[in-house]
Amino acid sequence: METMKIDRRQAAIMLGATGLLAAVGSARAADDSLEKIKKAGVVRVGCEAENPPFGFRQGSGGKIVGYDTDLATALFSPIGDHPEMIGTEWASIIATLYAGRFDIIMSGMTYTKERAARVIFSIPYVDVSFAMLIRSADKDKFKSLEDLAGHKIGVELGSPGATIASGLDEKLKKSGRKSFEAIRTYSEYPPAYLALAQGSLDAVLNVAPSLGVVLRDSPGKYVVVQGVGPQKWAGIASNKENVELINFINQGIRRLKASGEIYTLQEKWFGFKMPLPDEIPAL
Amino acid sequence: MAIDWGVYVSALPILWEGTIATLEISFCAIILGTLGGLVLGILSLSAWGPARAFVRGYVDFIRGTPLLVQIFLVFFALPVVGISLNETWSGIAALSLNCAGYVSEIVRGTVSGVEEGQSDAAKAIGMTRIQTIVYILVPQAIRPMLPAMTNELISLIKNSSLLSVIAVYELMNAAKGIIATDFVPFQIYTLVAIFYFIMVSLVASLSRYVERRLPAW
Repeated sequence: METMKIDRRQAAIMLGATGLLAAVGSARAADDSLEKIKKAGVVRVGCEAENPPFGFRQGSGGKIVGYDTDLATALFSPIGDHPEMIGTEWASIIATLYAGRFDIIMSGMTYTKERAARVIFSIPYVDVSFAMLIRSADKDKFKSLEDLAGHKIGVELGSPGATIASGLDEKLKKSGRKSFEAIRTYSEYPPAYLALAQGSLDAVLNVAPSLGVVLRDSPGKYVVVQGVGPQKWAGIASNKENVELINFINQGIRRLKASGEIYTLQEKWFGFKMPLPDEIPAL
Repeated sequence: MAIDWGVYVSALPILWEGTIATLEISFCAIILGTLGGLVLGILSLSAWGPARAFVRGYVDFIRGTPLLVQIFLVFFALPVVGISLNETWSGIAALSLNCAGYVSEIVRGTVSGVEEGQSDAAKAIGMTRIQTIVYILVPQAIRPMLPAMTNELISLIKNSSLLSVIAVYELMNAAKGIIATDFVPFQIYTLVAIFYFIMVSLVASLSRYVERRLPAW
């Protein structure tokens, strides 16, 4: 085989390229995620725009307000940044994060193993244990999720409700009892609530604070049954490389817990305070 | 069913903003899509084989995949190859690419439908293929193009409602936002239908007016 002859010019170019790569490689080792956000003056937050009280549109321009907006403002105003809330589709929110459309995800994203494999989470900022919404007329019929065997339930695509429902479905089938007649997935909650009101569904699974808003807006029509799944928490999520940013957010959450500001926000948007653990719960 | 009239008062300004956004997006997409479609249509009539094959492949892809899938592809795939557009321009890009595919077929059909005598006469006086197409055939094809183009433009305005899934704040997204807080889907969607109907009627009337004013050959 012919040996490759490298002349002096080619050798210089190759050495130069290797040096450049090494320099870029070592520069990337330093995490500048927080610096970038400080410089930009704005932190882009991916959230769901149809999920009161976490995020919903109000007023002209369709500005997104809610618990998430207020908390993001409280977390980032010390470094002079304001949050830009970007409403997006829930099922593809992590993919959209990695497409570079925003810096962090809020909207009460529950800790799950699958999500923890793709993003890093902050410490808990809200209690998102799942509850179920049923029509008031059914309040004595359905006291727990198992009572809905043989009935139709609605969940949101990409939410832990879907996992809880299908998990329970499996358990019921295995134990030989009747399982759910149907588990319908919706891309956002309002159509599910409508289907419940019309009778095409018998229950909708969502986090307790969001169902609290439904109760307030349609008094007397529905009832919320709590404790439908295990106690769940939600954290703020970001790209796996943004370690500095998540550390900053964790410091912020601890600061707001110490000053009591986060509990004031909870009372404002949910009507009650939620105790929050200091560490990410084990999955 | 009790009708809550108060909701209409608060919803109208928000839906109006959404309508303006829809019109802006549709307008941009129509301009870009028509220009692109015109170029592709003329390319599909070229003497060069690869050009015709490229347009055929492009049109097959656009017609063979749902617009929703095309929107997601533009939104998620473009950043991977380094093109980072904000969500509104991603949506306009997806709508334009879709429109161009259909418009190119309309152009191809109407231009090759001009009677053969015209291109024979053009050849007889020594015009090249490109000159024939641009100066003789396309002007005569504009009138037959109008009804089909109007259809495409109307489809584009209605299809812009799909952009709500990539977080573009247009009429459909504005409506969903109101419904999430006010829980009155029937009332809001009825209003949304009326808004789209008015937009589409305006386009249709404009098209009929232009058709009347164009000289008939």
